[in-house]
Amino acid sequence: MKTEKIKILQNVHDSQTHLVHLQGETIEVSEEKAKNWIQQGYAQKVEKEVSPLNNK
Amino acid sequence: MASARFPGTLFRLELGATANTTKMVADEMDLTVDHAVKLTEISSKDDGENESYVQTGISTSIKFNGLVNLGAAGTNTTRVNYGDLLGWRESKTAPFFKIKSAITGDVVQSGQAIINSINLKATHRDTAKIDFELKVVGAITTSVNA
Repeated sequence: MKTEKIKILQNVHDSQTHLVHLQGETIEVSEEKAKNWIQQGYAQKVEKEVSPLNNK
Repeated sequence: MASARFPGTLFRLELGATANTTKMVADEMDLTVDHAVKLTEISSKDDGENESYVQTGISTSIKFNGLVNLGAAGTNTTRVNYGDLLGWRESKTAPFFKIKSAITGDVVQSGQAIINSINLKATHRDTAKIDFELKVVGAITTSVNA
């Protein structure tokens, strides 16, 4: 299963895991859940960090 | 934008030993959540007739009223029962609570609360009823059901 890292923009109760994720938390969820939460405005995508060596 | 109306029937109390294992409380009839503010009067003789107050605390209590679940403890894994409540009282632990519906986008309130009282009422020719009160300890987290 593909996953994606997202940053929580507002407190979210995950009805599948029954966990509450607080605003500001960065979590890894399934691609489908990430897409849904980003669409609803609950979260935003975390861009992958670029290594300083490759960023010249 | 149309305003949202939340049917009270859908909002149910869940309790559990951990935050992610909360279960609905069996046979819920009524649920009341009281958010109280404690005020201390700081008026002095110099203030005349105008009274002054400062907020010195906040407290929340959850009151539940329902029918007694007579199922043996442990046989009904989807619902909290009378035995679970007594267990938390005996162990002096604060169960985790959630007040929520199953609908996506609805508000979820969660936190921890200690059992303040449990009352069982068994009246002749009537269904046995239970009511209990929880006092919230710490902050309540409000989140959106997703």
